Amino acid sequence: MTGLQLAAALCAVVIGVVLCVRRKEPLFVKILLYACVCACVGALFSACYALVLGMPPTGFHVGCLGMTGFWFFLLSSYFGALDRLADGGEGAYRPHRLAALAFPAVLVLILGGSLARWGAGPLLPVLVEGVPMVLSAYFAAKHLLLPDVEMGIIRVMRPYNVCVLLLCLCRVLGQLPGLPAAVSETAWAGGCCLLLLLLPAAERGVRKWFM
Amino acid sequence: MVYVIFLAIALPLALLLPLLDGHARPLILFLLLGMGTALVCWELDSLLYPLTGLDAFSFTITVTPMVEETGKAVPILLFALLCNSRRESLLPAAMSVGIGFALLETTAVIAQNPAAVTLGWAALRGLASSLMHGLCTMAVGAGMVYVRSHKKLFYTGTFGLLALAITLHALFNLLLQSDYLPLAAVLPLVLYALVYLARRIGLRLPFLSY
Repeated sequence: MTGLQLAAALCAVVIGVVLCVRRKEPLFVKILLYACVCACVGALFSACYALVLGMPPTGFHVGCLGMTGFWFFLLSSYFGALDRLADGGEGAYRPHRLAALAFPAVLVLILGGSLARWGAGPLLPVLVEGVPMVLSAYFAAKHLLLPDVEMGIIRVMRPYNVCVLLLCLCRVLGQLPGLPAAVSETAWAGGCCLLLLLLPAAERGVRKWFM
Repeated sequence: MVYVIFLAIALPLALLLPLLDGHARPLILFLLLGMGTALVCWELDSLLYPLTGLDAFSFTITVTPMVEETGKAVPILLFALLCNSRRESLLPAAMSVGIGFALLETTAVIAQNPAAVTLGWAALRGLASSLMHGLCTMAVGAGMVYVRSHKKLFYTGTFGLLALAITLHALFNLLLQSDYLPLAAVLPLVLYALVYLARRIGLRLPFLSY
C-alpha cells in the first residue's frame, strides 16, 4: 500500500509540474501541486522507513504529516483562492452553505464514533489529518451545491469537488480500525486513484474558465 | 558543553554586529537567533525524551523534527509580524536562522564524539545539514510572507508548509542514521537544485515567487 501511495503521489506531482510548466495556471492549481508534493514526501518517508527498518510504519508516524500538509494546502486552495471566485457571500445562498455542512458532519460523526469505540491511539493517523480534511470537505460540498448563476465556474469544477469528497471518504475508511481488510484496502486504493485524478480534474475545470 | 560552544561562537559574532552595514547585520543577527533556537530546542528535546518513552532512533525521526521546525519558525514569525514581511527580507532571514541552527547542532555533535569524526563526515554533515535546516526554515518562512497581505493563504499555507518541512526533516534524519547515508546528503542538494531550477526557468509558484 505504501508503494501504491508513493507511486500515485509521485505521478500526481509529475502531472502537476508538467501542467504548471506548460501553461499559465491559476493560483489554486499551483497550490494543489504543493498539496501533491506534501503527499509525495509523506509517502516517501513511509517507503524509506520500510526500506531502512524492513517493515512499514504502523500507527502514528511523521509520514502522516504529509497527508496533513496535503489537506492544509487543499484547504488553502479553497479558502485562499477558489472560494472568493465561487461564493460572493450572498444571503440567498445561506441554505446551500448550511446544507454543505452535512458532509463534514458525517465525517465528524464517523471519526467521533470511532474515537469513542477505539480510543485515540489507533485513530491518531486519521485524526492528525482530520481537521483540515473536514474543513476542505465543507468547501468541496459547498462548491458542489451552490447554484451556477454567473460565469460557469462552479459547474465546471463539480467533478473536481466530487473527487475531493470521495478522497475524504476514502482516507477515513482506509484508516479506520475494525473494518474488514477488503474495505480498508479498497478505500486505500481508491484514495490513491483519486489523488492521481485530482490535478487533471482541477485543470480540466479551470481550462473551461477561459473558454 | 552546548552552552560553551554557543558562547564561543555567538560572542565574537555579536561583537561584529555594530560594525556591519544594513544588509549584513540582519543576516548575522538571524544566524545568532538560529543558534539560540538550537539551544532552546536542545533543552526541549532533553526534556521531552524521557517523557515520550521512545528510543533514540524513533525520537529523532518523530519528536525532534516537530520541535526543531516549530522552534525555527518562531523568530521568522516574529520578524514577519513585527518588522518586515517582504519576501526579499524574510527568505534570506529564514535561511540564515536555519544555517545558524545547523552550525550549533553540527558543532555540538562533533564536540560530543570527536574521535569518530572524519574530514569527509564533517564536509558531508556541514553541507547536507545546513542546507536541509536552511531549506526547511525557508519553506516555512515562505508562508509567512503572506502574514499581512493574504491572511487566508497565510493561515492555511503556513501549516501546510510546516507539515512539509517536518516531514522532510524527519526523512533526512531517518536516512542520516541508516545505511543510506549518501541519500541523506543528496536529498537537500536535490531540493536546492529544484528550487534553483524553478527560479531559473521563471516558474511562478505561490509562496516562493508571488
